[in-house]
Amino acid sequence: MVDASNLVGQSVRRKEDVRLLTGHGQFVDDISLPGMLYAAVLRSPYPHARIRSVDVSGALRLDGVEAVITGDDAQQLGKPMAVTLDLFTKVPTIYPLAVNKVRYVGEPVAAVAATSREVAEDAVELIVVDYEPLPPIVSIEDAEQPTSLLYEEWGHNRQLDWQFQVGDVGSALAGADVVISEDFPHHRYTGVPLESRVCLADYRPGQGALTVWMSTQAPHQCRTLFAQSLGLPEHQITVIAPDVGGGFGTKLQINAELIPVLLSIKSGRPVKWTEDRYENLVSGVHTRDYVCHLEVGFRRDGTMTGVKASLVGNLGCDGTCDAAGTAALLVAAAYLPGPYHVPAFGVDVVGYVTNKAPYGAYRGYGKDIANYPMERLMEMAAEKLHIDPLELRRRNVIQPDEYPYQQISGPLYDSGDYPAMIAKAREVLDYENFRRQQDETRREGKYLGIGFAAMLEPSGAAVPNGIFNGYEPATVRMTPEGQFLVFTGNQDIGQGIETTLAQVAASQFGVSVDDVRVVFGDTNAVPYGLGSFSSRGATYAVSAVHRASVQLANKLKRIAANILEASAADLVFTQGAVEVAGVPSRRLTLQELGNKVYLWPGPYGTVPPGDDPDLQATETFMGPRVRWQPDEQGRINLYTTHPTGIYAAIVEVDPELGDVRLRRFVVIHDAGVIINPLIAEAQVVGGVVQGMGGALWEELRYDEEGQFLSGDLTSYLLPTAPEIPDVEVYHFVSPSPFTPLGTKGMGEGGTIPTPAAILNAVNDALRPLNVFLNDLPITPQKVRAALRQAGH
Amino acid sequence: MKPVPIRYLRATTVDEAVTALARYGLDAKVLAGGQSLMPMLNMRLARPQVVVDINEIRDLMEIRYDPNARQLVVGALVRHQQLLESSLVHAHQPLLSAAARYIGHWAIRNRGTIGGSVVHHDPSAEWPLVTACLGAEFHVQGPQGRRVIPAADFFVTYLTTAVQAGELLTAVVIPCLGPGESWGFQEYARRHGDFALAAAAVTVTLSDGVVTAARIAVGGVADRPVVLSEVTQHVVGQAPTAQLEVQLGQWVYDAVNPLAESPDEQAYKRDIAAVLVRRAFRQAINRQPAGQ
Repeated sequence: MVDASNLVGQSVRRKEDVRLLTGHGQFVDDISLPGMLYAAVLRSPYPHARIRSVDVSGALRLDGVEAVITGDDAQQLGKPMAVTLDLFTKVPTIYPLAVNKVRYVGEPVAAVAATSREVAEDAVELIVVDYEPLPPIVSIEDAEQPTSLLYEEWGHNRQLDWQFQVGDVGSALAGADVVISEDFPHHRYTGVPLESRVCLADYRPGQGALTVWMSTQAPHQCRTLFAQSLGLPEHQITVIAPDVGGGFGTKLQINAELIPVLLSIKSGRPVKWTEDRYENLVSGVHTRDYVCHLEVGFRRDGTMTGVKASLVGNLGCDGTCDAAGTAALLVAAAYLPGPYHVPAFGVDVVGYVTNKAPYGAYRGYGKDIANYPMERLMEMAAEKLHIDPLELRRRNVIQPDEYPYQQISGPLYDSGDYPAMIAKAREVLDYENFRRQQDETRREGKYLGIGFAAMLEPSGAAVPNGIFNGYEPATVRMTPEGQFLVFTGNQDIGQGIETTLAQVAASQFGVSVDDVRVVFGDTNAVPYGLGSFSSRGATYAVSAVHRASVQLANKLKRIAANILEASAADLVFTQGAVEVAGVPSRRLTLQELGNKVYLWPGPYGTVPPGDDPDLQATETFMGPRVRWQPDEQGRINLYTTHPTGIYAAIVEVDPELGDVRLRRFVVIHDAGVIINPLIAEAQVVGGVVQGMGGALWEELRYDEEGQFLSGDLTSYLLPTAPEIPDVEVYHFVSPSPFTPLGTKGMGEGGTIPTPAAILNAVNDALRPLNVFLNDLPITPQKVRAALRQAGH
Repeated sequence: MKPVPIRYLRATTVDEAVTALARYGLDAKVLAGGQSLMPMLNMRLARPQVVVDINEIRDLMEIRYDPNARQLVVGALVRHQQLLESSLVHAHQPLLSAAARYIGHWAIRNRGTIGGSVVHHDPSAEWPLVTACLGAEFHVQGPQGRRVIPAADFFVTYLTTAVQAGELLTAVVIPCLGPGESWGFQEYARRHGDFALAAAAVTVTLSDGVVTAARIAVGGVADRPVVLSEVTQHVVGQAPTAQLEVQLGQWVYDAVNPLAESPDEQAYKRDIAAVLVRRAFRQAINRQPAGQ
């Protein structure tokens, strides 16, 4: 047994891995019910078209088909899709199956439930839809000057339009010695979970009860969204998320899962829908896809005078009901000043709807959008100002003694030490030596480059007006046999909470993680919590579990003190027992304690006056510094904790092939107190790899007519192991003053700065060839085109 | 992603397979390693009525060395990994071993077959390029008997070869490396194991410091592998100097006319075809035994 005196900070092996790695995990697709049907979906081949008619008679005649639904059924059996998050947005009236018109290639138009998936797919081919194509809106430019409207009733294509300014940014830029300005476009890409979306819906007409097994990050909010989107009483709905094979933000809505639910309601039988990879790529949520125009003023010494930004997002067909992505642009706006002293700040944000797939969440959720343009621009400014890029950042970053730091745009930063991390980066990279080596190898025709990005990761969002409002309850319970159950609304999606939450609880009771079971993913079993998103686990869930554990531990001590005729203040938990400190003979094992309270003799002989035998405690954590009421300058604060970091990429470019090889990737990372270094490092590395994917390979492409071009994994290129160097991670610890254990959520930090660091490195490598790349992903073809243009 | 209803037949001899293929003609597809066909079936891009599984035909599983003809006779069902690991191949035509390393990943190489690859004919794939470069012969059996198709006639266009409906490829016969002959192989793909953006295969024979014979072929730039005979003629008779390499790049650049979706892509393919041939040529020269 591991010494359980304090498990926080120990690299405990993941409890869940034995189950998952031996094939004993249970995912939704592993679950079957008697009489279950299989769903298949007919999807729009057009980006934008009016639906004249849908004829399902051929499908209904096919043997094995039990139900077919269209937009008409969606209207009759349900209601418009409920809002996930509405912050300054326009909310469309839409249904899970297209009504009257289709708005993107891949939009569900009709669905079939049949006795096998094969038959369901055969039946889908027999449905005849008469479309009247409409002009597609694909680019931001298309949407700005609309040749057609996605939602005619709006009169325009703007879903989001928001401005914010603090200080006189015009004067700040006018008074600068140097102003750097550039348009930073970013392509569309997304998280690709190994397990796509899967849903098994079981509507029981007799009880009016609906049970939904689904691969989701947020079971409780899904339950509420189902109730609102179907008009069913919420207490009759159960949502169960068993093992979930990855989320990354892409499983925070119910637009697709409503389809098997409607089929189950229509057929009165359980219906399973297992999304295939094409469906996931064409209609699972997409993200990024924006242009940010950034202007930053600098004094000659490199310090900033002001930041002015204009951010325009391409939201696809919707980012409020179909998915929850629109607010990412607002998060981006709030965090554009990043880790820097910014004396004046102004930003305009516009989000346009277009005929592309829905806009959702993906590792970063706007924090990446805040990071990419600024960290690209810092490197351009360094060149222009003749200041080393690390030094330029050092001159602008917030100093360690300034925390908690009120950023000009609203956020309150909790802790960090950028100057020390910059120094560490120099040391780890052997930076001066690298620069010499770079000069030497260039003479041999080898092009090495180094690129940096400072990282700031707001974690643990509390956003008003929707399902991401930021609080988390936890219940911790001891059994009569002396083991522990942790009930959490947080969801295991592969990130390791079965281990980390167990570590937090076990630490209070002097037991091992094997004596703690984390219960999650069943709305009938756990308190209404908000699931896993926004890197909130180590901010919210951990804090709630810690506080509930402390509360229960105190209660157990009071009862044990009564039994042992000691003072509760003298008791300690150790090695599975509670004992009088320093007197090991006066002890009760937790099994003895549980048995005494519940069985022999039972509560009336053991529990002191004023206590009861309910050996459990519930605590709910709320972000102590979240502020939704705007201050006098209109600023709010949504995030509780802020991991920090300095990232560096070293690349080698082969100018003849346009090939970019990642040679080294160094992460200096600070997420406050780390619960489990093994898991924390895996979070960083996994995030980095997704950032590398976005920088070099992954792209959700549409042609100019709005046809989707990335519908399989030979056209949507995910990074594979041979392309990825060892990611070197170095941890700093600046505890957060805003959480009881000093922890900070840290799931997204790896992804946020990685694209900027890599493109900065490529531009650094090619600087002697007078090449400047500004487009992601960095494909060999783009590298060659830029070199060719420069005469190479 | 489930296929349309398909009738599945399993052949255990070449004759059985040919009988079944002849009977169903264009409605039948041969299933070998399944690395291209199965995804196409699942995505309903291929909708044959009948699939003829040849995986149990033992006669097609061998690699044989014919010392008299100095050829390797490779059965159509030989897996990529088998070619990669074969000591016969390594000894007599190492260009094949080198190319095999670039095919997909280990799991794919364990299943995928040389016959499947050449008959499927993705023009970016390794086997079409290498067999075209080396002037391999393709042995085919059909209802009318057997015939031999030279590489120059075998690859017709994307996903199309000279193999007719009702016929089965049984073997690929590949010339061995000649005396004084060395080779080079270069491929560039976005990720390890992907189909090539372009690839080059080169063989060079040197005598007294002069190129006396060469073969140069490029994959991924046209609807089939391109054998650059005219470029080869420029090279023969020359000493393999750095200057020749530069010229070679230019000749390749001028000779290829890549099919592409955009002018940018076309320019790119042209650029890298030249680079890859140049590098493959250098590789071949460097591989020459000292003193040649």
